[in-house]
Amino acid sequence: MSKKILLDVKNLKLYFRTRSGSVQAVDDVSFRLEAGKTLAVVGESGCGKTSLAKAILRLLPRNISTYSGSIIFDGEDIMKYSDEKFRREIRWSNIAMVPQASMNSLNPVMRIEDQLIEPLLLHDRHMSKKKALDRVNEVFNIVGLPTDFLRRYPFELSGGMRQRATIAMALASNPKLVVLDEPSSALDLLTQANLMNVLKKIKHEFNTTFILITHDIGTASELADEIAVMYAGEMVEFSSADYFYTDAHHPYSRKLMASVPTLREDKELQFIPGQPPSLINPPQGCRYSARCEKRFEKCSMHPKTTELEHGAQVKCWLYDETGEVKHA
Amino acid sequence: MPNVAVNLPQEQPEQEVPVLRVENLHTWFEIRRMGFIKAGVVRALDGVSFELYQGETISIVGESGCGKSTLAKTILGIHHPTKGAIYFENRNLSDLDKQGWKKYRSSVGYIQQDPYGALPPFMSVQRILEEPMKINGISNKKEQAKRIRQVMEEVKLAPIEDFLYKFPHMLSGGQQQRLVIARAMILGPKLLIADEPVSMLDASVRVEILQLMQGLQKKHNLGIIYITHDLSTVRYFSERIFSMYGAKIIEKSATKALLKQPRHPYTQALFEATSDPDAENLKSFKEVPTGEPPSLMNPPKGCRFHPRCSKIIKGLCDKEMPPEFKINEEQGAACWLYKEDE
Repeated sequence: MSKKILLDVKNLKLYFRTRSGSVQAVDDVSFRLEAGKTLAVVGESGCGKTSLAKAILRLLPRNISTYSGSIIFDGEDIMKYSDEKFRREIRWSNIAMVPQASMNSLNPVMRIEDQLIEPLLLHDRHMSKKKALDRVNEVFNIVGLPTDFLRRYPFELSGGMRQRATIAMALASNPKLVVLDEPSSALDLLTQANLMNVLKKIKHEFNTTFILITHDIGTASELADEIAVMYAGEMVEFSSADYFYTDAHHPYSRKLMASVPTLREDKELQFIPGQPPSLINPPQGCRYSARCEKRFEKCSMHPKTTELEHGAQVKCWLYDETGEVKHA
Repeated sequence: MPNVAVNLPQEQPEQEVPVLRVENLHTWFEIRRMGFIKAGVVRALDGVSFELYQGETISIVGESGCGKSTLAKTILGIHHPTKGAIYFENRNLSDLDKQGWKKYRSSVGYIQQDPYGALPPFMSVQRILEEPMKINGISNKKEQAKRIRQVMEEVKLAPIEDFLYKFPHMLSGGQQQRLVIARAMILGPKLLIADEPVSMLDASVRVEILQLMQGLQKKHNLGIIYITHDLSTVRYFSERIFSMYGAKIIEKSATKALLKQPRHPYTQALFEATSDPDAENLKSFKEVPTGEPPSLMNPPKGCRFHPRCSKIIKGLCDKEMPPEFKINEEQGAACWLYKEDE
């Protein structure tokens, strides 16, 4: 039985134009995501995680120099849509986003319910206000907030509740894909754990597809079926979570895993010396090679993406075309 | 009576004087309306006591608003305690004169959470490191240069010449944090207070900074108070863990014992809420208390955690504040569950 691919991104590029040159924020990223699964995009700050999300939603700043590739969403190449069509048919109605620190993005002088019904009314002109309110009530229940809070103003809610309200807002239009950008990093530990429970419940009950962008590999494991590791604008590894957490392939992913402190298990922590390269003039070869312990001659050339046996993809010369480990 | 204050393990000989002793410390902030009408009091710190010995690291864990940072700032003398006392090497801070405070401040280093916010953007690295020496009367240029060189080597901002004339914005996050540590170390402190020193940094850099602090501690036999909300970093770092909730310390445990078995229901919840990277996490829900931490203006009666606690003893937890109970040699918790049967 073939599973339904909801999102198929091919050779996506997003470069920004700046005074000192073109910033390659997302460089040749390809991946596929099945319906109902969650992809966690992890990586250090400045590796292009958020830019990837923005490229998928076409939320672009003005200084774009390159924006190319194909994004096939639900069978249609949405890169070919005009801006107006994209806005009307895709953004928010089919792909919703919860931006970073979104709990502070609510309008302070509007009641929560008025903000939540706004996207519904805008996207569906035939929807009555009453119907929109019913739907908002429904999603408020889903995220576990009391519905009388709808009449409140944002400042009357705590951080965790506001974060849930923005998630409710993203879910209200019943999108097929929800992009969550660091949904829990500004929250307290217990609030964060509660929020992850809510997201997990939504995932199980409604079979929603999520893209979760985070720097916290521990929290990512709460929700992720697939893990994508980004480094300096490139996706260096894409693997199912089962394999990733036990046996990551790319040397960078391994180091990243080794640098995460664990609570329940005693392990020797490692750190990655050096810094990621500048995205303005990234090195010709593998972008991680300057910090990599397993560097060899071939690394001065740009690595190809290799598919391994259980569907994982790695951008590293240690693995050749057949997926065999070389030089390890 | 079982209500005995916990004497935590002290490997040190009896006569040794703790570097820092905090006794029943309260820091309250008055809330005023329109500038003069008293509207209430925020009890940001409500009765905290502990001792810290030379060469020891204590971690203080808790969520935002539990009083962790107020504790740090009160010890640093930024806030003045409403009640209680702080003893530094057996001298009460409230007895210090101006000169004494100056000396005290030069022997306590402070590492801030946000390195970029903590460094003045218009000063070069050299000036940032000279500043504390100027203030504390080290005016000899040679001595200054020698200390700068030494401290920058210690925090591995090398080669030194590459960094001296740079400004904070030219440094990466990790380098900025190392500069903050260098500045805290330059006067040769005995005690370091690190308020979430790694929470703004990337995972790969985090470990580097923690190991650096550990190295400095061993070398200079420093006492460190490490404040964090992240339980998973403490195991690599500290000998004892205090967990704070609602302006009070509710558990004091040796790190190893706590990691084996956290005692207070709140510490247990923190433990449960921390996710280790493991694909198994996907399959189960976390059992964590819902709700919010208490208001410190109007804290609940009895144990401050009781409205969220799953192990509440009705009629006791919501009536009376639990004292600290000693559970064993290494652990103590302010929770009625550990009241000994009489």
